[in-house]
Amino acid sequence: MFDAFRKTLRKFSDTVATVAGTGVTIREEHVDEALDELEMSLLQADVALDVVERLRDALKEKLVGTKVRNASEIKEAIRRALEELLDLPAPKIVPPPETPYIILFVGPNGVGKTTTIAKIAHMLSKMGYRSVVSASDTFRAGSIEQTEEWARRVGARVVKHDYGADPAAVAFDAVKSAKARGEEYVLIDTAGRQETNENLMEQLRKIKRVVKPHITVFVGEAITGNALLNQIRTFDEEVGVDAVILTKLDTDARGGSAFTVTVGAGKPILFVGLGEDPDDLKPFSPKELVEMILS
Amino acid sequence: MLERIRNAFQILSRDADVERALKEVQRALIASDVDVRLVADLVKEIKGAEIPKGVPKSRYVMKLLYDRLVDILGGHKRPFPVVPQRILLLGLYGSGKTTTAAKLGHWLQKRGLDVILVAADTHRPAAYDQLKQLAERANLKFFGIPGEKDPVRVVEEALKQKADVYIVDTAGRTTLDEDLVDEVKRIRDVLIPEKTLLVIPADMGQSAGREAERFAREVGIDGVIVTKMDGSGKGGGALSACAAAGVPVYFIGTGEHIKDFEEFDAAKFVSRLLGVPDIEKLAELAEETEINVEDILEGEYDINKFYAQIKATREMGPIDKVLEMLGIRSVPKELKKMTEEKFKKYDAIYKSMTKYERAHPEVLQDPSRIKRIARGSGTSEEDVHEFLRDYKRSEKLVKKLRKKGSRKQLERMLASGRLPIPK
Repeated sequence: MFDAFRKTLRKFSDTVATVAGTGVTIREEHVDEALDELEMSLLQADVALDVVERLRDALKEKLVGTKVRNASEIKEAIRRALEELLDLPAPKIVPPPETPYIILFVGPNGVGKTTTIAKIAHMLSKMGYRSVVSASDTFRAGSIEQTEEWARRVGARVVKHDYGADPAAVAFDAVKSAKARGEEYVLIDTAGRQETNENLMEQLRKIKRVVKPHITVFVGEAITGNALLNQIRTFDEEVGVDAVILTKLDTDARGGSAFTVTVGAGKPILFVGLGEDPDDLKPFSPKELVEMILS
Repeated sequence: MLERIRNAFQILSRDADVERALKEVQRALIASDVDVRLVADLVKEIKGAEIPKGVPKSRYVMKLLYDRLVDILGGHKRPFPVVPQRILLLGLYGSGKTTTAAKLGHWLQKRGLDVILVAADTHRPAAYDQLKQLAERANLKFFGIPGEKDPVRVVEEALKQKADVYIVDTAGRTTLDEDLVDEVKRIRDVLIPEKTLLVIPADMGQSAGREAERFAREVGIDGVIVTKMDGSGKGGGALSACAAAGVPVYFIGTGEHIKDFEEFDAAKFVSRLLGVPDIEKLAELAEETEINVEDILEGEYDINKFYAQIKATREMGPIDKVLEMLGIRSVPKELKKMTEEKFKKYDAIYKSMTKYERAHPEVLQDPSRIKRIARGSGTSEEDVHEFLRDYKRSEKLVKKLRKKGSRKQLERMLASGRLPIPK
C-alpha cells in the first residue's frame, strides 16, 4: 500500500540515523522533506485534498522538537502522531446511557446503512440488549423488506409503515413501542440521500425534532474519495452529526478516508464495517488503522 | 471542483498568471478524484507545450486544457444502441445497480422497446422486492423467482419471457472476489449479453480506477454507467478511470427519480463544468415533461407560465438545475426549496384562480379576489400573497434572462460546436 510513504520513512530515518548517535531532535526541515513525498501517497489513499494539508501541519506540530535516537524511534514517533490524529473521543453507546437509547443513522445512498444497523443490532443482542429497528426508509424500493429480512436474521424487532409514509411517524412509533416494552435501543434507519438535496435534509431534521435521538451517526464508505469531507460537513451542518461509521473498509479502500473523518471533519469514528456478515463490525481502533496503512 | 476550474479559466481569460491557473486546475482535478498520476502528467504536458507564434499563451493553454480535459473524461459521446438486446449490469454493493436497471429500462422503453427487468441478485435481502417495486413504478415488465438461490436459473427462466430488451440485475459484493467473478461468468454463459455494463458511483475515490480495470480484466465490460452525479462527488475518479481503461461511459445518473438519467458526453460535461450551458439537454428535458422552456422564456410571462415552471421543477428536478444549464446561477431560494406541502398549496391556489386572473395577474391586487382564492383553495390569504410574491420574483428573473438575450447567443455558440475560445 503506502509504498512511497514507507520508502520516504526509510530515507528519513536513514538520514537521521547517520547524524544521530547521541540522539537528535527532529527539526522542521526533516519533516518538510519527508512530507513532500508523503503528500502524493496520502492523496492516492483517498485522504481528501484539504485534509492532506491539515494533516501535514498537524504532523509537523507533533513531530518537530521530538527527541529520537534511532530509526525505529522515528517510526514510532510518526506512528504515535498519526494515531493521536485519529483518536477523537467517541460517544459510548454500551451500556445504554438511557433506556431506550435512540440512535439515528444518516448518510448517502448505498453506503450500507441498513446492513450496518443490522450488525449493530446483532452486536447489541449478543451483549443481551434488545433493539428495535425503525424502518424509516420509506422511499427506496425494497428497503422495508430488506430491513425485515436483516432483523429476522439478527433477532431484532422492526417497526414499519408503508412506502411513502412519513419517516418521522415511523420513528415516533418505534420509540413509543420501545418505551412500552422496555427495549434498550431504538435504531432509526433512514433513506440514503445526496447531501445536496435540501428537501430530504429537512425530512431528517423533522425526524430529529420528533424523536430527539440521543446521537446521530453518519454512515459513509471508506472508498469514497474527496466527496466524503463535503458529505459529512453538509450532513453535520444540516442535521448535526455526532459520530461516524466507516463501511467497506475490507475492500480496495486504503484507509485514508479515516483521516478525512477525524482531521477533516473533526468527527470521531465509532465503528468500521469489514464485511458482509453480521459479525463484521468492529469498534474503531486508531492503532489498527495506522498499522494497516503503514505495514 | 467546478468553481476552481472556472476560476482557473477566468484567470486565463484575463491573461493573468498561467502558472497559478494550472495550479488551480491541478487542485480541482485532484479534489474531484481524478487519478493523481493522470493529473501530474497533464500539468507536465501543458507546461511543456510549445506555444505557436502569435497566439497568446493563456488562450492557447485554455484551449489545450479544454481538449485534454475532454480526452481525460472520455472524449465524445458514444451513443447507446437502441435495439433489442440483452444487458448485464454489474457493480459493487451500493453502487446503484438496481435503481440503474430501472432507469435504463425506462430510457429504452421511451425509445419504443419492450423492456423486462430480471432480478438475478439472489444474495442481498429484498433485492427482488426492490427491483419488482421499481419495475411497477416505471411500468416495466419484471421477472424474478422469489426465494430462488441460483441466479443462473432465474436468467434461464427469464429468457423464456417475451421482450425486446432483457436487463439483468446481479448481486454486488464489497469487492470483486473470485466468488463474484465465478457467478458473473456463469450468468454470462447463459445470458450471452450484447452489453455488459459496470455501475460505479461518482463519489468513489482513487479506487474507482482499480475496480474498473479489475472488472474489465476479469469479466470484460463494454461500458460504464456512473451514478450519484448529483452529490458532492464529481465523478472525476470514475470518469477518468474509464477513459484510461478505454471503456466508454454511456450514462450518468443525476438524481433519485427514474428520469434522472442522461447520456454522457465528455465534451458536453466539460462545457457545462466550465459554465457553458447545455441547450440540447434542456430541450430534451422540456420534451419529456411536456413543458416548453422556450415558451417560458419568450412571449408574455404570466401565472400560467409560473405554474408550468413550478410543475417542471417537480417533474424534472430542481429548477436551478435547469437554469444552471442555461448558464444562470442565481435562482430564487423559494423556487429551490419548494416542498411537497408548499407545492400542494400552490397547486390548489392556481386551480382556484380564474382563467382571466392567470393571464392578467395585475387584477389580483383586489383583496376580494384574494379572499375568494384563499377560500376556494382552502389556504390562507397570506398563502395567496406568498404565491404572488414568488410569482413576481420569478417574473423578474425571467425578464432578466430575456434581457441578456442569453438563449439565442448561447445557441449560436453551441451551433458552432466549440467553446467560445478566440483563436
